[in-house]
Amino acid sequence: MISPDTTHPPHSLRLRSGNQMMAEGALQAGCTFFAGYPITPATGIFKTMIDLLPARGGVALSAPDEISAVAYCIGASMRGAKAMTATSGPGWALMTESVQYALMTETPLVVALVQRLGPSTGGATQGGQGDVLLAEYCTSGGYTIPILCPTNARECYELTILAFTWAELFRVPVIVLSDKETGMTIESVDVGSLPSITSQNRPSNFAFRELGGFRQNERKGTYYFDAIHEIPVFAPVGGPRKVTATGSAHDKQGRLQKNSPETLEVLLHLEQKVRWRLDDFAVVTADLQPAAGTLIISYGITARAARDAVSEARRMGERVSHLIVHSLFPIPVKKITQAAHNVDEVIVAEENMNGLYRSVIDRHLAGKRVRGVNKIGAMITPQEILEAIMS
Amino acid sequence: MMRAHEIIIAGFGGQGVLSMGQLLAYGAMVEGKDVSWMPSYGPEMRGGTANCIVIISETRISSPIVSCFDSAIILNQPSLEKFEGRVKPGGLLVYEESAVIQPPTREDIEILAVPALQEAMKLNKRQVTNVVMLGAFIERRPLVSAEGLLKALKSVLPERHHHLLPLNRQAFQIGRELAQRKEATA
Repeated sequence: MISPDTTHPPHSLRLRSGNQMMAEGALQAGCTFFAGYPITPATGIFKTMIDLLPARGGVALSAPDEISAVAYCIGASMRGAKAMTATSGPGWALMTESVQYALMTETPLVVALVQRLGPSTGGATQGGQGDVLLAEYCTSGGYTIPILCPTNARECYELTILAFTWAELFRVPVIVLSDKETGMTIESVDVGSLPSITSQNRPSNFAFRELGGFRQNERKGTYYFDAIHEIPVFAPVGGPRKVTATGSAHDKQGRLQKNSPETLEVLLHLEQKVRWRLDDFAVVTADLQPAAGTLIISYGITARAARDAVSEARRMGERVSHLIVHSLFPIPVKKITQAAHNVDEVIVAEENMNGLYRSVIDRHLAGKRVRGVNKIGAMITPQEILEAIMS
Repeated sequence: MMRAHEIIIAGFGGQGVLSMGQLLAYGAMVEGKDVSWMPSYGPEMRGGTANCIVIISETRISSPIVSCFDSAIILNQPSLEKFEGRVKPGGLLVYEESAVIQPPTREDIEILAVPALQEAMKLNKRQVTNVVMLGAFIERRPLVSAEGLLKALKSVLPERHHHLLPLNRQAFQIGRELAQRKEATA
C-alpha cells in the first residue's frame, strides 16, 4: 500500500482514497475526538484518524465495539469536543440507538457511514448505496437527520468539514454517507487547492449568544429555547453550569417529564430546528441544459457514472440535465423541483434494488415520468445509464 | 497516447495485483496525469481473487468503473476467463504464463504471455513476479516512463524494503526485455 508521500509530484498532487480524505477533512474541521471499530470498507478512516489525530493533540480510540465507539463520541462531544466515528452498515445498525440519544440530547456528532452491500454482514468488500433510508430513518419518530453524500475523494474532504459545521451549529448528529468505491478508490487529489476553512463552532454560553437573530438567555441552560427553531446555547458537561442530559422526553431544563406541553414542544423543536433551515441545508451540483427533456438525478459514486453518461448522451445530440444531490436529507426539494421544472422525465440512478432515494423524492415530482436505474452487487456503469437515457 | 487508458489487473490475493495498480497510478500521477485506482477483492485474508481498475487520463476522470478495458494484466485462470471478453478490440492482454492453463483465444486483441514467475524465481524472489509483469506491460504500452515507475516504486515501497529496490529494477528490466524478445519472434 502507498506509504505517506516522500516525493513531491507536480502541483501538490497526491494519491488519496476517499476514506483518507474524510479523515483529513475531519482534522481540518477541528475534530479533536475519534472513536471507532474497524470495519471494511470504513477502516481507512479509522486507521488514518488513529495515525494522525493523537499527533495533533486529539484523542483517537479503538473501541471494543461500535456501540461503545459512538457512545464515547457522544460523551466527548457533551464535554465540548468535536467528535466523529466511522462505520459501515452492520456497525451502523448497532449505533442507531445511541445516535437517537445524540439527537435527543442535542449533541453534535458526525458519523461517517461507508456503505457496503447488505443486508446483515452482506458483502464486506462489495459496494452499495443501500443504507440511504436506514441512515435517515434510524430514529423512532422519523426525525430529519442531515445526510451529506460525497462522490469523490475531494468531496469527502469538503463535505466532512461541512458535516462538522452543521453538527456543531445545529447541535444534531450528521451523517456523511459514503460507499465502498468512494471510500476505497484512490485518485489524484491536488491537496494544495483544498479549502482551508475549518468548521464552525456550536453556540456556546461563553462565546456565542446570538443565533438566527435570537438573543439567548444564557442563564436558562443548555436545552433552553424561546422560538421553537432556535438552537439552544451549549454548556459542556463538567463545565461551570449544571447539565442534565437524558434520552427520555424532557423539558427545557433537561428534566425528565411525561407528556407535558413543554416536553412535546421540545420534541417538536428537535425537528423544527432542522426543518426551519431547509434552504441552508441544500447542497447540489446542477448541470442543467435548456430545453432538456430528461433529468438524471444521482448521488455518491453513481453520480460519476451518470456524469459520463450525460456527456456521452449530449455528444449524441440528446438534451439532458443532471442533478447531483450532495445533501440527501433534508431533501433539497426546491433544488430538485427547479431542476425538474421543464423536463418530462426524471431518471434516478442509484446502486440499490428498489430505488431508495427515488421512493422519497417521487412525491416532489408530480406530473413527471419517474424511473430508476438500479443494480446491486456491482457499480452502475456509464453505459447502463446511457441506455436508460436513450430508451 | 489516448485521452484515457483503462486497465484491469487481476489475479489471486497476494500476487501483488493491487500494488501493481498503485505503482502504475502513482507513476502516472507524478507525470501529471489524472489517475484512479479502484480495488475489488473478496472478504478472505488471502487466496481470494483480487483485481483493480486503473484509469490513466489526460483529462479529468469521472467514473472509476468502465465496461471494457484497453488493457488487461492477468495473473490467474479465473481472471482470464472473466476478463478476456472485456478487452476492447485492438486492446492488449498480458498474462502470466505459468498461472494460465487455457490460454486466451481471441484474435482481435494483442496477446502477450510472460513467464514472469519463472524469471522471478531465477532472482530468488517470487514476490517480484508482478514487477516483471509490469515491465512487460509498460514495454508494450508506455503509459508511464520507466523512470517514472521506478521513482514511484521508491515512494510506494516502505523504507524498510528499500534494499529491495535494485532487485525490483532488475525484475522490471527483465519484464521489458521479455516483451521485446516476444516482439522480435512474433
